[in-house]
Amino acid sequence: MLALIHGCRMNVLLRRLTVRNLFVCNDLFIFQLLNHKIKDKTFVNKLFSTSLELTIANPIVNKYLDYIMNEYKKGKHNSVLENIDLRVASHLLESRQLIIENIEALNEMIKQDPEMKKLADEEQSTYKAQLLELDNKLLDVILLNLGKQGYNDIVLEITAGVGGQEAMLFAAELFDMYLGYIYYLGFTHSIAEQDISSTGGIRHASILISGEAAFDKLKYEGGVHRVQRIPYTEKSGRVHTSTVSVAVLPQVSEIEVALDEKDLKIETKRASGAGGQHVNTTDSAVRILHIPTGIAVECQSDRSQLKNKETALTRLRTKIYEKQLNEQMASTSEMRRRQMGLGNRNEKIRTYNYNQDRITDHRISNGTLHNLKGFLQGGEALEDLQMRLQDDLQKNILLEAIKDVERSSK
Amino acid sequence: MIPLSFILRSRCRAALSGCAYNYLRVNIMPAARVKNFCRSSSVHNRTIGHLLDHWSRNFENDGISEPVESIEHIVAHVMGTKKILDLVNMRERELTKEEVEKLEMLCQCRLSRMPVQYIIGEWDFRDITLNLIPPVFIPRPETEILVDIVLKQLSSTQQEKCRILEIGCGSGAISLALAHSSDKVQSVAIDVNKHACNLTRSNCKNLGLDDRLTIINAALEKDGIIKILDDTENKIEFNREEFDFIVSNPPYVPTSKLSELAPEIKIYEDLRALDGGSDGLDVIKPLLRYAAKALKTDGSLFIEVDTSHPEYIVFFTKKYSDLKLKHLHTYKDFCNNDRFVQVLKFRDV
Repeated sequence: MLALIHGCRMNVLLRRLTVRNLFVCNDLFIFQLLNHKIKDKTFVNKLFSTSLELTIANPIVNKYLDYIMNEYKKGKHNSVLENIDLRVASHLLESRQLIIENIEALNEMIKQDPEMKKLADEEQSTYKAQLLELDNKLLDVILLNLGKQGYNDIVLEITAGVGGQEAMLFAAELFDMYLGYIYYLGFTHSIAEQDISSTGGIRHASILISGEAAFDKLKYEGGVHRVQRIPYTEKSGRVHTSTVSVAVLPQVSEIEVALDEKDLKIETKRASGAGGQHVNTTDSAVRILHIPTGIAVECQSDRSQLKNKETALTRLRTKIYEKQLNEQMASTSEMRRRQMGLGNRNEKIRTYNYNQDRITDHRISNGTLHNLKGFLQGGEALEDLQMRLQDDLQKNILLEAIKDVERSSK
Repeated sequence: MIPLSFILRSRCRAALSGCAYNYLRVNIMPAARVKNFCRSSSVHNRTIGHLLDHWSRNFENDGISEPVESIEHIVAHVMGTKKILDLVNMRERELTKEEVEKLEMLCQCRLSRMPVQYIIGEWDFRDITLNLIPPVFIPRPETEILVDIVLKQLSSTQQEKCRILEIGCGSGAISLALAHSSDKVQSVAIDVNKHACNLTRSNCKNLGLDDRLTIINAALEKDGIIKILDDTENKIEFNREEFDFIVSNPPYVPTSKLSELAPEIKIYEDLRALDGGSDGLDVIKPLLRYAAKALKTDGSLFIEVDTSHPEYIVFFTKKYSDLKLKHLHTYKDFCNNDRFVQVLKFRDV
């Protein structure tokens, strides 16, 4: 397989990233997807709105499970299996093998001795029930890790978009929603930066979040959130549409993005005057400019300047990483971007309509919810939606994998 | 200046210790103003948002530096958090009557220009939190970089243990941050001020670093000799002892500049930790002389200095070549000022 992808720019990139251990669990699987090139464009565009039932009742799912079982039996290193937790799946696959062999043996027997048919039928139906149960479990195991990255430390950035003060006010509401969600999930967080407008809105905020698989829990929030309502400031009662963009990224370590001290310009508010013992201020904010990329970050969350510097560097690395990735991924499929939770930063993912007390997530069919106030508390409602988005993504990945198997078997 | 500082200190101490209202009425504010601030803030509205706005305005009107940050840190302290950004999401929360009273006492201290770090009684230095009590010098963020420089040096040495002496430890920031960040460190810290030694001792205990740091009340004298001031059991023969590193943030503000310092500094902080004499070098010269005797060969002295000092230190080491000291490097702080100097003790040739 590696020979196949050799020479393809994208795959070289992906391999490099793998070496850096960035995308641990799904790479080989995605290699395969990319290799076969996703031809079905409408499918790609409708990634998040599958209406297809992916259950074992579907014959193509059955075919796929057969394929996996056979590949497992061959015992060879196969990219399809990379994505599956074999510690759990192996005994399921072995049992499945056994049952199928038994069914085949019975079929053989019926052919030779039709008188046994009644007895054999009974036995066969037991096996089929067992098979059904087994396949269900197997499908669950396969779905479990699909489309997950497992990063525990992430950065969530909220930036007010179109709509001036109104957008900033809504950004503050989203900010509160995410804090509520972080609390609800039992994650820890620290606010690295918060740029507050005169009306109490937020121009920009950045939260560092840590928790079990935090990235998978929050990556679906990345994109443009649109709000439709009559702003507090609007006197004539017209409904305005404003936007807030949210970015969710894994925190990047020093190994993944190395920064050269020479490229950094570090600024503090202590710049004027003699400094040192001559000054005693509480302001410990640090601003770092990365000269080659022009990216600047600020951190004011801690009382220690050094800690603020470290936090700022983490954010800077994450931003540089995002930029690099975006440049390199320009030619990447939407599916790959989705998988990594990058999505399209400019894509409108959700609308909050106050007049109708409605939230609509545009990525899934029937993505409309009600009770805006409850939703904005960032509790169960948000988690439910996140689970649905995850289900949908997983099903689509699986569907694509199944189609691949079909295609290659033709 | 001294009597004023005494009055201000003692009145803040009283406020901190609890009997604020009477104290305010009798000693500090005109009755009308006491009434006014009690009415405007404590009776009607006790939400954090209101208190923040109210006090930042008050501070600003009184010409207090960093009015917004000051009240944010004070409120954060009353709420039991270290991060002022947490407050943004607490604006609607209401303080209890007791909390408001405490807050107002602390705000009175700020109106008397007490540094925020003393008011809340602690501050962060690198990744440790230090208790701070007036008048012991409040660590400045620049000094975090000094620790960085020493740590870098430490990680490049082969030795398993590294004996470090800190001269003028204050609250213990440098020694404790070093011991906290590197297992190699075994240090001795001295300070001329007994209260500073006690504070370092208690910070050391809080951080669980007791067995890594010895604290002694001692003075570095003009001739570069260290004299022990108290009858401690830890008899260290400073004038025979050898160290791998000596580190110090000595007083380096020229005496003529002291009057220009902010009231927070010149009223509340121990001037012995700031006043470096006519050229700011009064302690730096004895430091160099002591280091020449007490550093092991290839050992280093790391000091924080005024921007004008590195040049002199180069000159000094050349002039007194018999000391076998060499100016190795001048490091900059975040503001691009020459701030730290490394001086090497070289081998006899």
